[in-house]
Amino acid sequence: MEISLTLTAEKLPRPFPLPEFPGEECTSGALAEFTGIVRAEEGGVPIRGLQYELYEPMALREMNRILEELALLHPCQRAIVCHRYGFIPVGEAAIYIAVFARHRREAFALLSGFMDRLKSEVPIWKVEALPC
Amino acid sequence: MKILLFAQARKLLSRDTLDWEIETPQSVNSLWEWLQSEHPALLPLRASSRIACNESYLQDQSGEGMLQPNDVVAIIPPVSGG
Repeated sequence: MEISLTLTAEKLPRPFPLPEFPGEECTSGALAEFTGIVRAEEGGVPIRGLQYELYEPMALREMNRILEELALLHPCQRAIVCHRYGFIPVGEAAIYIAVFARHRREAFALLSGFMDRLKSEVPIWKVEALPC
Repeated sequence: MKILLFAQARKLLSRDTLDWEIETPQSVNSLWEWLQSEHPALLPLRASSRIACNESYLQDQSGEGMLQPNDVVAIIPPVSGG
């Protein structure tokens, strides 16, 4: 599986720029996407944003490891992951993921499995919820 | 040994690195004993944190896992990305 990982302090673009489908050469039948967005409340308290922190080289290694392990269970063709860090205002994206696969089931399974493991294994932290 | 601190660990000590001067391999238990002695504010994180070594989780997360003097170690409090 081809893997593309980005960690950035910049705002994630919407829509996220994806490579063009390769026309007659296209072997992908599914593109599954997920965007994680900062909500306007945290624990019932209104907030204006979240502050994220990460251990960059290890976060990249862990994301790559998790995707490679998941791809053995759910063969997909390509995964693109972009996680933002620093201050992220409410309503903006913290993470974007795109998974290309021949069929939808593998794409959904890999995407879902990745998010579950990201939240328990990848060294990225919401360190502060900034109140309104 | 260089020890990296993140999130709650960094906040508790108001710094992002520590240096532990050792010349021989040490266990994770020894690391925590040193932290307890020198930086006791970190102790509440012991039960919930994992230890990373050279940018990967230490395979042996029990107290018996071994660390080398030149390793870059990180204390990884519970993560919350996404």
